[in-house]
Amino acid sequence: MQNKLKLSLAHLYPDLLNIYGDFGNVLTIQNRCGWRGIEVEITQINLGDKIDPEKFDFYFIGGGQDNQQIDVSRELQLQKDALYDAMNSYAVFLGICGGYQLFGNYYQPHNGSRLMGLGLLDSYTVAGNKRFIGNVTAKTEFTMPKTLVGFENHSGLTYLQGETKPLALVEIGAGNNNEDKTEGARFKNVFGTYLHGPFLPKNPHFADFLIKLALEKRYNDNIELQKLNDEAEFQAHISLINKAY
Amino acid sequence: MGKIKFYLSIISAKVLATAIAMMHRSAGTSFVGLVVLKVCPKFLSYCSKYVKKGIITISGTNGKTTTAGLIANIFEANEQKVIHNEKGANMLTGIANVLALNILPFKRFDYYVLESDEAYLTKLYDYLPSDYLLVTNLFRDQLDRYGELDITARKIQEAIDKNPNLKLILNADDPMVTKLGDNRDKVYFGFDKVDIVSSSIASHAPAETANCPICKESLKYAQRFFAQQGHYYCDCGYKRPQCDYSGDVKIFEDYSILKISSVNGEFEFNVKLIGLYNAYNALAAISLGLELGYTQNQIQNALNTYQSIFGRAERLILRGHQVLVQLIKNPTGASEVLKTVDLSSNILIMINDNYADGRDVSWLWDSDFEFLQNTKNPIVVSGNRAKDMAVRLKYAGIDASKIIVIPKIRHAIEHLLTSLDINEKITILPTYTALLKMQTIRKKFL
Ligand SMILES: [Zn+2]
Repeated sequence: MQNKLKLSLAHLYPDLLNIYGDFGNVLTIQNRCGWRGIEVEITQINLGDKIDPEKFDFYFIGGGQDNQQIDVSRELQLQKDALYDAMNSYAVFLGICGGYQLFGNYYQPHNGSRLMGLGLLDSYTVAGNKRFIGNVTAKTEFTMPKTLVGFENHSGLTYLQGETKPLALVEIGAGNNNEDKTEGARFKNVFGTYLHGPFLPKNPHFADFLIKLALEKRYNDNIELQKLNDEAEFQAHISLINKAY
Repeated sequence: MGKIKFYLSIISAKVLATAIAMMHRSAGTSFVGLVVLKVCPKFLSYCSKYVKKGIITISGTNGKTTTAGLIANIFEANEQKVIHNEKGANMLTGIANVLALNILPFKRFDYYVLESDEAYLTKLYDYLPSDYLLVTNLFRDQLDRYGELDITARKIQEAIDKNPNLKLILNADDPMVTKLGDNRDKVYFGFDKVDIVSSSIASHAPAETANCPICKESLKYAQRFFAQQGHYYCDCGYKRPQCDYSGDVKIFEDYSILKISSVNGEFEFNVKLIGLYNAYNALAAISLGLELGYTQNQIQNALNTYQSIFGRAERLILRGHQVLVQLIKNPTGASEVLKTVDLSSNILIMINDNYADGRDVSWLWDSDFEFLQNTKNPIVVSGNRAKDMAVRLKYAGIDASKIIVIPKIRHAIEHLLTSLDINEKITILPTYTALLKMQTIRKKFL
């Protein structure tokens, strides 16, 4: 049954945003589908490419250095309508670190003008004075097991408002802003997180959760994923739970 | 008063080192330095009085240890007395360590050859200003420690600004390095031509975008050698400068032939090190040697006797097995190494995430472990991030049944040595502290 399934993923601006092993997240979606006989079509979206919201079930965007982030911010303003349509049709979005910040309303640097985001998430980020660097353990309500592990490295402080909810609550690490214990965000099927390391290989249950959502969006039907042997992934996952910050 | 403290700290350093040795422990690479700087915070300033000809610092993200090792060897092969932090302990305590253990009240040295971590360069120059600073490259590396590449470049720039008489030896092929020093006295080295004679496989790691350090637009390249190294230019006018020492290199499987031309003529060198990244290190060291007036012969002799002390392609024999050890620590370097790994050997990958390794191991996912897909034998993974490494290999397309996880480094090496026939070759790919660990337990495997 599942070998007939297909999933179409857009990797946004991989030439510019590819800083913390982001390639590993895409590779994880690709492999975990491939092992189940689900065909994955990956399209790289580069500056100047027009995004067709009908075409993709999954949008991935990674983190980058400041200059690259500015370029992408400008470009995303041109693709905003298409991505809104995609969000409203419940396509899955995953943004990591800088990509997560760009899903929000804006990023306010110390000095200089605001970097506009997409506003898919009702969140905003302001430049902080301290860089949060270290291992993170967080708990989410969206998956079983609940734990999410990863590594954060950001100085931006992100705050959530309105209907946008946190992805998880941190047990170890700073999370969104080092104040309210929240980590990452979700609205509809738009997800953002500061966790890299990268995120999906170490959290296979979360990778599968996203794959399932994306397939259900595509086929508009309930889909059960075939179980995989995740011993190696969970060995790594468990070894990182509560690892010192 | 200060001087007394200085002598006191030197004496206590030696007592301490002897005591540690008597307990059959390794004297470590920075513990003595830590104590010395506690006893005498200005210790490093006094050290400047014990050097006659010059202090040379080497910084940059990759290749510091090899480049510094080659430079020290050029001096030593030509009867100069040198102090050199050869074990790659390149933070302030590591440098204090090696100076404290070598300096004697009535003995002076010709040169200090000090490799310094980019972030500690400013502090080092507060106490011990240098005559030369050689910068190898600025790759994306250890981002978790300093934030971003621009910050690293800025830190080096601050160090340069503190040191008015510093002469800079810079890699012209690296757009981030070239800009350093602005209007200072600079000597550039770089490659005009790179010819990979042995098999060359294209890397499929994400291409590193390089932005112009002046106008921030994407750089263009007439030739790109690897990562952001090459002949770059930008519409704003920023471009690779003319080289004082320009190289033409042929890279063979485990050595390179390097032709270097300068105003003084053209010289050829044979470098017995693997890969283009090492050819860059050799070009850097030779350029400094030529700059200081050494002849082609004197430098070639030094290259012939160079033994890499620490990884970076070290060959050794452990209980009769031929072992090749190659340090891996960031995507660019690791992918270069993985490209040339002997797939018929038995591969052991040792990944640690200690401070000196960089605590963030996401770089494993930007390194081309896909090159290991066709290994003949199982791959052993070790170190405190062995389990992360196992996942990386699985997603690189290596069957889970061919991945053996043995987190303890001693057990992993022991496993290979006891399970393999004597004629089977071993390749070890460790991160920095995994390599240190291996060095300290090496006697157990002789
Ligand atoms: Zn420019």
